[in-house]
Amino acid sequence: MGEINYTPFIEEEPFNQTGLSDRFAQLAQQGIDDLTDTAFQKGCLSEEHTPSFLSYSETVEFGTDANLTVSYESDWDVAGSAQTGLTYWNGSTSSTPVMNYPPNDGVWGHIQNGAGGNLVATLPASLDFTQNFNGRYGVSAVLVMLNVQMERMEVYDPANQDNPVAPSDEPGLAVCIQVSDDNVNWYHLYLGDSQYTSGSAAGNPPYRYRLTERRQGAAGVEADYTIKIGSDRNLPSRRDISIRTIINQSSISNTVNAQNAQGGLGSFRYIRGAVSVIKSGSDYNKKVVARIRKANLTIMCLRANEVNP
Amino acid sequence: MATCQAGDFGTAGERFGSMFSLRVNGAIVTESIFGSADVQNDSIGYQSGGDVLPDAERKQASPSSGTSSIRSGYPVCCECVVDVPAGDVVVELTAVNVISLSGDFVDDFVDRMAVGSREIVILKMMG
Repeated sequence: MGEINYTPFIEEEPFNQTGLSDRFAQLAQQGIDDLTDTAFQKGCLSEEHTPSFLSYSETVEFGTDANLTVSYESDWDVAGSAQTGLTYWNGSTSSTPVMNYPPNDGVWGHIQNGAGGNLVATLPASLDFTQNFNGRYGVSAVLVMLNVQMERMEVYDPANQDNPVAPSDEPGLAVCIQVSDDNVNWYHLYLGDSQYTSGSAAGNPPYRYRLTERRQGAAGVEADYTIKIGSDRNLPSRRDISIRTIINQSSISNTVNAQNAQGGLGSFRYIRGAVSVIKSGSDYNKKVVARIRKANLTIMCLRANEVNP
Repeated sequence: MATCQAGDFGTAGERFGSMFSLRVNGAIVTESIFGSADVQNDSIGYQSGGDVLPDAERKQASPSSGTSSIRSGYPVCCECVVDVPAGDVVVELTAVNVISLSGDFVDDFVDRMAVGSREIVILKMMG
């Protein structure tokens, strides 16, 4: 179908004869002459041209039991005395939790469906909020809604990974929303800087607040009462983690590069739900596995004006 | 819609839980209250004797408290769609420490609740 392109009225621009004439001229020159016959098929003007505050939306759902075959692991390298895998406290070498500085603040991975799919929403094109209205496809912000149903946590001996062991502290699952422009390098959405520093952490200060991060401990009534595999080494914890966020220019400009300097991303095209495994206290040197039963991710590209106080 | 990371802290091992909701122009929106005292969201109350029971079974209202541990806390999500009047509209995410509903004092070091990352999103739709 042909497109009709014209310069929209900006806020408080006079809605007068001159302004309207300009738009009608643009319509005639750029739009109507380019329309093809198919543009006038039945329904085209009601379906494609209905005013909407959404310019694009997408939902990715993982709802089958195959999700449970995916093992989200935080492991411990016994010989090298180092954290491996999807480890939230990725700088810990003792019971004192240590996280490295951004952008390596925890190791985060895709939420997967067990059949090769990742929980990623893909925009039709890379989006740069610094562009003008047409350059950013009229999109002012992207609303992201992520739901994850945690299933259970499992704790193992890192030297003999078939051997479940009792947790000393409560493990947990961390979930967040990340963005990428290449579907390879993923970036946190930060809110601001922290004053806290750690001499044990690798990288460059400061720590930054991960705006979309939510954490859920494994302990709960199901973990206490449900019949467990391996006595108390398997912690059923069917809990929902729901995250809602708005991605706007502020979000993108607060991403950081490899040196932990702001402005890591200029534009983005991919949005994902990411997970990391929390090993608490003296469980730092165990292998902890998280299972996720269901997850879904919805993005909505908003044409609405955004106020971000 | 509003989400946040929350945690309940109780050194004595008894946590009464917390509730969250959206408040529009000063009125709590009932359908946005987070938690329904079901197993999914109910906290586990530890009596001093070591009993482990859902708070709902102990006749203590504490929907939406997350875990029996203070380690990781729990995520909160409140959402609703409501008609609003013309003019200024104030939308807030509110929280209450349930122990305060019982008339007890909230001790700074025993019955604390905490909120970490938080975000509120409002879509004004003309329908």
